[in-house]
Amino acid sequence: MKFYILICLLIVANLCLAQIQVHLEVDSDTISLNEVVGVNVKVIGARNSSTPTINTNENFNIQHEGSSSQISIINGDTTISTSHQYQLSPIKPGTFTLGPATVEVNGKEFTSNTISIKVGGTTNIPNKDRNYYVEAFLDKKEAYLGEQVIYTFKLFNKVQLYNSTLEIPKFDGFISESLGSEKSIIKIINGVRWKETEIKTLLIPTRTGDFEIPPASINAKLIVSQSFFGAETKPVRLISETVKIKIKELPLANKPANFLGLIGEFDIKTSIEKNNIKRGESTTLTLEISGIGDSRDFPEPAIKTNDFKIYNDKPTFNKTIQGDQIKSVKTFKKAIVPQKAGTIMLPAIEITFFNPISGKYESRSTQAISINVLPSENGEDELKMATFNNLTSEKRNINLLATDLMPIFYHPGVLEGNFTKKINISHLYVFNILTFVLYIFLYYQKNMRNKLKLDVKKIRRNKAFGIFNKQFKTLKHQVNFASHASTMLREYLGDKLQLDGKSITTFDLDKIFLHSQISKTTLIELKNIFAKLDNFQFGGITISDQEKDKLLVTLVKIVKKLEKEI
Amino acid sequence: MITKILTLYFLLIFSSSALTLSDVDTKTFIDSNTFYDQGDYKNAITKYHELINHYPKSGELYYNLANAYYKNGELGKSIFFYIKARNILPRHGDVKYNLEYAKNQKIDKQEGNLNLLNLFNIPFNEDELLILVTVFALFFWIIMIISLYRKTFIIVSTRYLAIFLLILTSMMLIIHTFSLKELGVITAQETSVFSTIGAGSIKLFTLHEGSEVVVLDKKDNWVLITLGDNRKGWVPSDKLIN
Repeated sequence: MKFYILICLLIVANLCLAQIQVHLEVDSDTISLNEVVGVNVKVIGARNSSTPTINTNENFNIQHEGSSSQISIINGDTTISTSHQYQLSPIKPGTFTLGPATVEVNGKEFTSNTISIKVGGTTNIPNKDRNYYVEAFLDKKEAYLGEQVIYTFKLFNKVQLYNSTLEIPKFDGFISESLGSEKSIIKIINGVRWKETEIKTLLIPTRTGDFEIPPASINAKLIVSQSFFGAETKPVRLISETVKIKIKELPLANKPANFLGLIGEFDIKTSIEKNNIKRGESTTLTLEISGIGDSRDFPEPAIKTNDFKIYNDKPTFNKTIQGDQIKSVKTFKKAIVPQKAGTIMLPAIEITFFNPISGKYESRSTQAISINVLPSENGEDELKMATFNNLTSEKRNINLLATDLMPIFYHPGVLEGNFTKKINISHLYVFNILTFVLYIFLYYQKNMRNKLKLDVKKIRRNKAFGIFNKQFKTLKHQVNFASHASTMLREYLGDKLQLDGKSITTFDLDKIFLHSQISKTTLIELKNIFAKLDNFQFGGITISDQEKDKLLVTLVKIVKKLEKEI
Repeated sequence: MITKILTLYFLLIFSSSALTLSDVDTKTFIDSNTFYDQGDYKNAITKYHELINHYPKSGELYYNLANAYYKNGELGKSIFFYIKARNILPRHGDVKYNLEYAKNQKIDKQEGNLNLLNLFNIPFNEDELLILVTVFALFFWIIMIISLYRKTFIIVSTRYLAIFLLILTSMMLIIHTFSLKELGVITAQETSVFSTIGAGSIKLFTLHEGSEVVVLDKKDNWVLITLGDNRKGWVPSDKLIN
């Protein structure tokens, strides 16, 4: 047991240490345009690699076919490799570089070598000598604009082909319509059994000029040999020739004035629901334009008559493929209401189309229809009634009035318009701006108020001068002039310096302004006025008006100085 | 101070004046309707056009004009003016009905191209959207002012509602403005669309009266149009209205 574990560990160690290599190989480096070659990408040294991506530079079509892994132990050396098989088919002739192939192992990218491949033209072996070949052709070399053309692709094979995939070209300048699935027949030619498979496409040219329809191709697998273990296959690619066609403008000569672009061969039929009706009643006229070609865009045929009021219903269109041709039927239904009593003729209706087979403009017309109109029972001359039939389903389960436009607006007030025209939008813009400005103003004011509420000291300081000024105006006439002036000054200093103003004395001033920014002169002047006021207040000296004025001037001067300096 | 500002503000708000209708225009409108009723659609068309010059934002006038064109047998022009009426009166049932009624008469099938002409089916016209945006902006700022003084749950919720309404209507206005395309309608019974300017160039496809197109460019007497599905080409300018 220990021995086997040791062997396994050795294998794993070898696998981990093995160097990862990527090799790109092709079966043949010289191929023709209608050949398919096998490509092999071999990843050595890794088992769990991603599917390689091969750089084709858009010169080749490449298809992954599968992969296989192999572990080999030779003389104790373990090699693990993974092979990825691809099918490579060239797109154009020339010499091109294939690769490198890139593979990702454990998040790390490894690249392979590149290979130069020479792509020649299609091999020109006569069809009778081949085991398989393809053909593509149109039923006409020239066609008119809008004429139906049939594109046929045929595969001939006398050996069995498997997994065939057909690539039909893009029909630029044509509207294409498949004419059913492929049809196969067996033909015996010179004693050899050939299988012929045919696919047809109907083309309608939409532009004039010379056109080249690119080749169609088939990718298939050919069985090379069969054994007990299965069949060995070889990929094959078959490419048809390019097909040319000239699309001509419709002839201008003898082009009828009423030609409305209808191309093919058509007929027109009419039928009337009732030939005997009362005046004011309606009857349904059915026009059916049918034939070979596409009549989808054919407009509503006009009926020139003043004897009837005509209401058109939505036309119906039906297209079918019969044989190798498009056949279409367009049906127009009209509710007609006679405008007078008597025998009235509904005029013939003519359609014109271009017939590509005859190369001429042709026309078909209906017979005029006679309608016997009886007077209306109630005698109302202006009665205009028409049935609104559910014509698309051929059921007449609804009889409603819905035959004309909704009436016009009569009230002149509509000129003034609705509320939007009465509102001046520029005013609204102004209101918006004003509201915005108002918001900003109120926001600022509220913010300021909040700020001031929080900063009481600041308010006290800011208001100090205002309070002083207010009291100063009445100071001169106060009975206790000196006492009031002293209190005012102290309170001013208290507010300004966030102190209890009333308790400030002359002796405190040095202490208060020890570290203050006020000048020495201001401090001396302040001390002087404090002393003077104290003398007048407590010394029992009467103050004359002259002295009062002097004191007032000094007081204002000192407060203004303090206002500047504090 | 605040009282003064608010008084001035509300005075400004309620000072807007309504449009007045002149007697001459009222008479022209009545005359054009009389012409219409009498079956004289050509004169009705002339009169409606005169009025549209004075009232270019009256959807009802475009509607009446479209009706007159339809009755006069000009399907292309009628569809064009119904669309103009619908742009101004996007929710009016009669306008929608008559537009569909007229469109049913046209030959070309164009259901797939409707998205091109009306990218987003916004049920408001440009003026209505402008008013909505400005009204909601006003509402928003008023709520913001109230929320300065009162911050109840209702006020806060209303503020979010105001923001939402303002963003919604602004987005609608932006979409409406950027999805505007110049519309054209084929007025000729049948016209060819050419790959380049000049009747000698390759005919790409044919359009019939009433087909709606988007006008991309104009040069000399030619108009570059598109149907929106990579079908693009030049049409003589006299074959369509735009």
